[in-house]
Amino acid sequence: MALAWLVRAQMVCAAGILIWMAAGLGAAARDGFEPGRERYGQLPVDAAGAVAPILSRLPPSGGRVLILGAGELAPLIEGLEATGVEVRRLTTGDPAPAASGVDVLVVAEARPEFLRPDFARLAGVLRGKIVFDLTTFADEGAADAAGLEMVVYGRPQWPAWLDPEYRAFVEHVRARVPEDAAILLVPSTAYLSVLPRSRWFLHLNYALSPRRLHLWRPELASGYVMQYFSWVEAVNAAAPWTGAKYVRIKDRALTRLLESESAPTRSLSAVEIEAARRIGAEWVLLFNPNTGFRLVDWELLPLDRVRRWSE
Amino acid sequence: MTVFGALLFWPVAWGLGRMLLPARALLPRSLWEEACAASLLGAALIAVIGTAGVAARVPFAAIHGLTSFAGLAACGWLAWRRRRAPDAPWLPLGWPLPLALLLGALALGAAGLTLAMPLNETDPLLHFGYRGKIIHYHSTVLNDALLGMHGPLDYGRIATHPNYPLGVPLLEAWAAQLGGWSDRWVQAPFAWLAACLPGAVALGLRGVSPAAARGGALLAACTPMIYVANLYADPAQDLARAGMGGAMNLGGGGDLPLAVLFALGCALLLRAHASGSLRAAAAAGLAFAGGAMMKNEGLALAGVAFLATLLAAALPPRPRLRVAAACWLTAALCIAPWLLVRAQLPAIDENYGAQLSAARVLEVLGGMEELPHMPGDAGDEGATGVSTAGLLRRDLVARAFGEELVDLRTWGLLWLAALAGMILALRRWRDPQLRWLALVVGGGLLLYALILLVTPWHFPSLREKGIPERLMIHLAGPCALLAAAAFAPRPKP
Repeated sequence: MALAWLVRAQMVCAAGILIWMAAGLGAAARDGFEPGRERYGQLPVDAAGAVAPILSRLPPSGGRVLILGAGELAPLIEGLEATGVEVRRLTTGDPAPAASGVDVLVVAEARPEFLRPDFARLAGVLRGKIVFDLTTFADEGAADAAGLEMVVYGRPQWPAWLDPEYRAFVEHVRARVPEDAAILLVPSTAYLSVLPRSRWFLHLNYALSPRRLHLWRPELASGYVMQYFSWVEAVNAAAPWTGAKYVRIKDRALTRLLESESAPTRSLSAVEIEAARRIGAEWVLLFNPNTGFRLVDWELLPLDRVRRWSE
Repeated sequence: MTVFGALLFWPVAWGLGRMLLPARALLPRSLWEEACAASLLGAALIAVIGTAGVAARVPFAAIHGLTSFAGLAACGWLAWRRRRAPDAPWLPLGWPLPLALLLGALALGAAGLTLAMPLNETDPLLHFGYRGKIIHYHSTVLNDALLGMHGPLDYGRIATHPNYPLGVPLLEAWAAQLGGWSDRWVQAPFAWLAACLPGAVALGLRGVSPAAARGGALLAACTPMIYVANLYADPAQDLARAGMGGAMNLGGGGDLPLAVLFALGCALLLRAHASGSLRAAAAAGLAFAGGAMMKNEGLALAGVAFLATLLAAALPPRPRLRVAAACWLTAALCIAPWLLVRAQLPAIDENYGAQLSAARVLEVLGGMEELPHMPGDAGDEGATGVSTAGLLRRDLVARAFGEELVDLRTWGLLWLAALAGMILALRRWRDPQLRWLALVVGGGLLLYALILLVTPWHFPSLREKGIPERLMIHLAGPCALLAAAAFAPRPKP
């Protein structure tokens, strides 16, 4: 009798489980049985925190900002206006007409017309070429293709491997590098953050397998987070980019931001070249560490080409 | 070919596993229980043979070919033998139609959700999927991919948890062998695991009574944690993200495979002791070894079950020594190749064997403060929103286990029933089955509490990522067995 009552009570859970399963299968079918970023939801926009990063990209005289989105954005607007910035706001519709002469565009609401606007038209009318995305859902690749640099300010809820730019870069590397080849990963600047989301090399290692990815001291870099923090400290202390020659190349593979300060293309140190030789790496993956994956931060090049910069 | 190659896993596993099960005349069971147990045993055998193949440097293609041939040949032989010399008939399932439909719906839903998305979580991708790909493309993990972490001039290969067991990666590689690697279809070997758990529990309780078998199966099948943790903690978000997110246990992770194989090991050992079947005992040993191939915790849990056997044997009525020996010798034999392989793999983190010392445990119990989350102003990712300054690890661990035991959203009544079952087992200590199950459940909880006391990770961050519930799920099978056996109506003398 006791068991029967116990089982009946436990079976109440089955209804909840079945509803959850039906919701999951229905949503998967709607998404074409592929994971979509949108289903992970979004944290509230950090309007107050975004003020300082936006100000850092504006001219000292003030400048003009266009904010796209409704909702509670008073801390952002007031914070910018307090420093003499001219703030415009658009809550719906095509942003291009309102963007004329604007220095920084801020996407603050995840509406389709704001996430995927006609970036080419926007690039033609914007004075500055900077877009801040506070939603984490804007089409960063399309902005890059139009020559606009996008800065994501927010904490994505979706997993790193669903980043569209990361996926595009993976396809690019798969198309260029044979499966039996080795790739040497080298950072081009210091790590400014130890956030685990900047461990893009882990995801690339899976997605590009069986290609062989080599990194400096991977036993720390791949370990648990405290080991990763130690690795970041060690990399920053070793600073393999010290004395490197930074090279602006005109034939970057995916990004159109050819003049960006974030170009990772640099010469290699003697140790890096020797490591590449011993590993048998014919390719070098240069990157600027960042919590978001931006095409402008990554470049895959043949070792021979990078080695010539070091001579 | 990709789908066919992946789905071929189940008939092959069933054929292999069915050959290992004792005859129905010796170990009576229903068709459903037999199908679940045989499939799980076959999966365990493939993992064990695959690991032995890695240790012996046999190419994985040969392992795949051998197991495929043997499994399909076994299916044919079993069909032929059924006509020529039939075994005893299956026991009637004895389930009312609504309950059978409920179980079927849960099974189909779990299988559908497992395959609805490609690999989409950190552990399945980075810890298991990566090594599955290595086996798929290079036929072994004993190569540069894992052994090359310490390379020339400190440049080496990237790998997370390089010394994790190979069971999940081997099953994924098996599924990918014919049609190529697919992030979706490599999960096929795990699609029916959730459905097999209640079957394994029911098999273990057949010796108690049909009502106990049904009750235990339903207790297990209706436990939300088998599918997802913290169900409806945030109803709108849970439904919006259903099938995605780290709370889901279905898919290419190691926790559910370990839980299901450990459940089968416990169930078969109970039946082996009751029937005296050495073959059932050996099959239990294989299931325990299979669990050890899925996650490192499986090895520790097998140790707990072994110790429970020793402790239970100290009191009358003593279990049959030959049965216990058959089980644990088989388990040791099957686990040995993995230990040989593991000795060659780099251990970069989570060396619990070294950390789980009496001195360290006493230090934590004596009042060790929680570790810092991040150095300096490292940011807030993974932050729990709770300051841990001045908090003691022992208090955090105790609170976490306390919260979990009564978390109805995650466990329903499973853990409360298991705890009540432990109390009943104390009162009925002469019942060897209850005594052993109570020791397994209690010992498993104690083991995980000790591990979390000494873990080098920041405990509140682990809590946010689903610890300890992701460990406690490994004990779901013995919990259901214990609760159902303890609460089942006892036969009148």
